[in-house]
Amino acid sequence: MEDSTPSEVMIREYLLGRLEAGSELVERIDQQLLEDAEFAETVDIVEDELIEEYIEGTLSPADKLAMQKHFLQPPERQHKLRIARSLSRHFATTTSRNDGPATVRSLDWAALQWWPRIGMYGGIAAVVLLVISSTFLIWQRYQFQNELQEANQKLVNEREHSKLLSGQLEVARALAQPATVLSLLEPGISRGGAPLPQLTLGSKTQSVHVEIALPSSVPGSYDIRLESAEKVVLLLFGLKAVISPVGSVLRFDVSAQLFATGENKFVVTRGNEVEISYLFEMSRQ
Amino acid sequence: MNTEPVPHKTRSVTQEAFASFLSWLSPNPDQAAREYLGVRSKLVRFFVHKGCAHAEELADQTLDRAALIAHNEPGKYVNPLALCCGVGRRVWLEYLREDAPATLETEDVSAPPIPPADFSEQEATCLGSCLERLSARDRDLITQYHQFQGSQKIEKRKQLADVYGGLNKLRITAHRIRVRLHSCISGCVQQFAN
Repeated sequence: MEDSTPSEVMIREYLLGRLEAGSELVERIDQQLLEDAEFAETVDIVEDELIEEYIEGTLSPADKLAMQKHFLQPPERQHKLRIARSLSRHFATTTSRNDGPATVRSLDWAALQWWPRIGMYGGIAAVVLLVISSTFLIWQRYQFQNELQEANQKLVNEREHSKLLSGQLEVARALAQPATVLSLLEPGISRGGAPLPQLTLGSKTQSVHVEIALPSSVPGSYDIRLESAEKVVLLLFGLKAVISPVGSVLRFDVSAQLFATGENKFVVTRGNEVEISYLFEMSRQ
Repeated sequence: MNTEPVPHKTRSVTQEAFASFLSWLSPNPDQAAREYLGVRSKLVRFFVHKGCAHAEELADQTLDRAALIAHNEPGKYVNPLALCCGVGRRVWLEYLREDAPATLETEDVSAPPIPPADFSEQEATCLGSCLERLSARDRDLITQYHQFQGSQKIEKRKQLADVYGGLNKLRITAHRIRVRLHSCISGCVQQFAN
């Protein structure tokens, strides 16, 4: 059976426009070009090879002339030539950049094969790093939460302890303040004048230490009367004053329970001399 | 041969004939449109293979005439592509008589403008980008396929043919990669232009 497919030599002649236009061969090629995709691809391949030879300068003068006068007439082929030429230059540059053909191949293959692997290893490394850093962060957070919990517990304990100590301190304060000092320096102060000296007693105060400054430095015995709420609540007789260059001072202790809230006074007398009163106000905490 | 664009001829086909031609290609309008564009593409390629400078115009003339014939003589032709082939050959012969020189060896035949040797920066960018889009295997093949000239090229292609299942298969594979590259570069350059 005769093969009706035109040879590549005939196709080449056809493409170079050297076959008789009205010939049966041209008609057959035309028909196959339109109806046979495989044949059309073969024609395209021969066309590419003609362009390649044209670029390389290996065409015969007659073929080169046919290329220029016929083959390259369509703008589509001129565009194809342009791209083919640039590709040829690109690949030639690729070659010249490397040491030689063998090196080019091995390098290219190595690069092409390793790039995806590098990407894969990089990805794995990134995942591992992510897992490690996440674990570390989670561990740190767990530690921090534990420490925070412990600190909170300590704080609660400290608060309770502090409350307890406050209570104890209050008791201690009360216990440590059994006596209060009352210094009365100026006698004769009466209502409506300057503010009265203040005596503030705590709930646990048991006694008040009183110091009364006397206007004279004459030694002798003094009688003292405490009047509270218009009543005489205490009488002290024969107290000796402490003598100093600037005067004398009477010192004595009085039970806190004797003082009434409000105005109180100590009345000091010596023999038949005039009484001297020392007023003060008492209040309780 | 004149390379200036030929004035676009008024479409001779009527709307009715065109609709009739489409329905002959396929009763489904969408499919008919796809078939029409497919036949037109083949005709453009046909005229390019025949060295015509105005392949698209000639393809349109062919389709218009085929549509009129099919409309005027319904049922006479079975295969639209076969009809287009016959009409295309006639259009080409007319084209030769009108525009082409008698022989290629004639010295007064003007050569087409040779495309500029230098690729523009955009085109170079597109080339690099399109090469990157190829699979590693395809990029390696096309690089090795075009790396050398002369005896080195022959030797390299023999080696590649051993790997890729024979010389013919290698040629087809390299050609298909080139087709994708050309298409990619053209599209890329078009995008830059827009």
